[in-house]
Amino acid sequence: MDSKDSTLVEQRPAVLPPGAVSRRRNRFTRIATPYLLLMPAAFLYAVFIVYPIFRQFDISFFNWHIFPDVANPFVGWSNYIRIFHDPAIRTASENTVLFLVITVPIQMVLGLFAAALLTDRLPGRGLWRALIFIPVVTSWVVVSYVFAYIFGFQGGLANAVISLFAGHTVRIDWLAQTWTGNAVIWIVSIWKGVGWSFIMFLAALDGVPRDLVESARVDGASEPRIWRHVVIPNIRPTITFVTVLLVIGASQVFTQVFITTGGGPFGSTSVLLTYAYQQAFSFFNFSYAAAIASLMAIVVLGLSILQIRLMRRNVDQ
Amino acid sequence: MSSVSLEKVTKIYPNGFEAVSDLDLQIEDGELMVVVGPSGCGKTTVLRMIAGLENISSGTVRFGDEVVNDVPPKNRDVAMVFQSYALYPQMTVAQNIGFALKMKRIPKIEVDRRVREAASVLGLTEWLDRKPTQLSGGQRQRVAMGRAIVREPKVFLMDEPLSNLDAKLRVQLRAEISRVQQRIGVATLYVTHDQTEAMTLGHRVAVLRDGVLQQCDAPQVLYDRPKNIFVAGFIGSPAMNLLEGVLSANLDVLTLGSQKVSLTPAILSRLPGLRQYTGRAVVVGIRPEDLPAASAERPGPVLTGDVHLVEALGAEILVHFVIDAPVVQLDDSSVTKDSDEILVGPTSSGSECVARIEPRHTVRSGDRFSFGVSEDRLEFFDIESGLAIWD
Repeated sequence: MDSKDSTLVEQRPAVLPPGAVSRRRNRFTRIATPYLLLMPAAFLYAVFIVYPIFRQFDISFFNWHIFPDVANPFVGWSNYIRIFHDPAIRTASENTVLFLVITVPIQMVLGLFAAALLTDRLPGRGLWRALIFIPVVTSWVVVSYVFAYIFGFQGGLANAVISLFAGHTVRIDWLAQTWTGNAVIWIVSIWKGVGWSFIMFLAALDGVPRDLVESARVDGASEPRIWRHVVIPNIRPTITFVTVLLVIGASQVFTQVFITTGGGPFGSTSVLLTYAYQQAFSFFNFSYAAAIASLMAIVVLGLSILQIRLMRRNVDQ
Repeated sequence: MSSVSLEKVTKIYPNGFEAVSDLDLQIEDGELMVVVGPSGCGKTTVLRMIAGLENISSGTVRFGDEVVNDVPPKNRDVAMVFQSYALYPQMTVAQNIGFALKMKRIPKIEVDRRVREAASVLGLTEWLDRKPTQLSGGQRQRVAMGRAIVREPKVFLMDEPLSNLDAKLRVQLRAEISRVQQRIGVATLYVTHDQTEAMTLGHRVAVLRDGVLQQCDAPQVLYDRPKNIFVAGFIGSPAMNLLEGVLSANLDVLTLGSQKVSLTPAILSRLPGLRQYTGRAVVVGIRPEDLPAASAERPGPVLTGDVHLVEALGAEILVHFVIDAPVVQLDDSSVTKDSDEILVGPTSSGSECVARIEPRHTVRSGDRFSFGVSEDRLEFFDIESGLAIWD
């Protein structure tokens, strides 16, 4: 009995140290837990983001058809070559760049201006802050439909207001003309987007040390010079950050164009994404649409990297 | 260059809080005036009103003969050193120092010359191309002063400029500030909560409490003849001991708890006002250094207490002891937010006192120890108003 017991006692450490099972399990749990927690999100990301991106690149090299029994011949770079010879792409690109060049600076300036006004003790500034930010949290689809109604040819609010001031009936077909159609798209985008840059700048301005501004004031600086020498340098990281995100957003403009003008008349207000969408779902040129989207992704990625580098340099400085 | 005068200046914030009340203060040309007081006493508000960063609710601020109440800060020609130094982070040291001159559109060559001169005065020449983040606390402080030197301003304001530095650097820069102020030679207002800074730097010191000026005098006068209990308790470290005592009917005995201190008629010639306090309770103030260890060579009245803490500082010993004299009850308004700065520490078992004695004496915690009292070093205060009893 004694010898048996002692053998058992002696053997146990060699075969299985006391507590080894739970320690090993603990180690496994510690390493595995983060991966297990990440898995649902990673799975969704892989299925709905990563796979479509690669599939899109894949499709862009074939003449791909949605019907299962039709052959999808490999066409190489021809879809990409077609992009550079397509006059409609030229219009869509111009409209996209124009949209970016017009809406981004205006959103930045208006957002900064509103933030500057509302950081000071303006009466009812809480209400103003809410009013400016509300459009940001509303749906693009709803807002686009509302603006399509406001600038509608028949019974639109814009025409009604102009008629009231003009004293006679004015009927402008805002959405059916290139420049007015584009202008409506810019207006809705600025109106909805300005609240976001406003909130960003508000936070940045709150972070400018009051001592610095007062020091500049005592040093004899006028208000414009205080902005130039103290405020702007202090909020530069935010300015860069807001620019980067607005540029990415503007490159991907879609909903407001799709709903208000639908890219019309004759594609004159179309942007790259509405054109790609039209190619895919109106003309079933899925491969060509995939090539446009792929090229856009590369350009936007390049732009983003460039801007993030600039931002880092600014922050370091 | 000009003097600065504040006449009946009051500051009431929109929420009704009165930060400064009816303040009269005159800072002469070239004078370094220190405003001292506990946190929240309104001293920084005074400085900001002079700079123009804060509107005044009533009263008049003058630079020389000119009323500057409505003059914006940029036109006041005031240089200010902020507690945080407020250096522009994206600018180099040279650009920081020269910023005010640039704002005045002074030619670049002249700006460079003045910046270099100021930098050499402050030992900053080799750091001129650095950014503030690359400097130590002391260097940043010097840059902040450099900005004031190049300005050649009418008025120089400093808001607790040394409070972010360690003790050693503070002592070093205190001397430097004094030197810089003499060099600029303009009316200077220096705000601090540190009474040592106030005593060492100020030509005169204004003590503020709850927005009300308590006393404005030369540092030694504040120390020797405080006008009221607050000043007595605030100026000096350790603070003046404040005990409640009773004067006898013919002013020959002062009773402190169970102990009696004999007084001579000479005290009346020094403090004639005591005549009105015969047979009445008063607050007695005794500086720690005026309580030497009692000895045979030093005849006269003594005060005996129970020692509960001994701090040997090398050159001297601080003896904390308790005597059974009644506790000095400061009225509510005397209890400031920073009551720890006023080292009046009555305990439930009696009044706590501090004595500063020579290191040759042997004293231990738990001892019963006697201290000599010299009547010509006693200060008396009215127990109701807290005002010093002089004439």
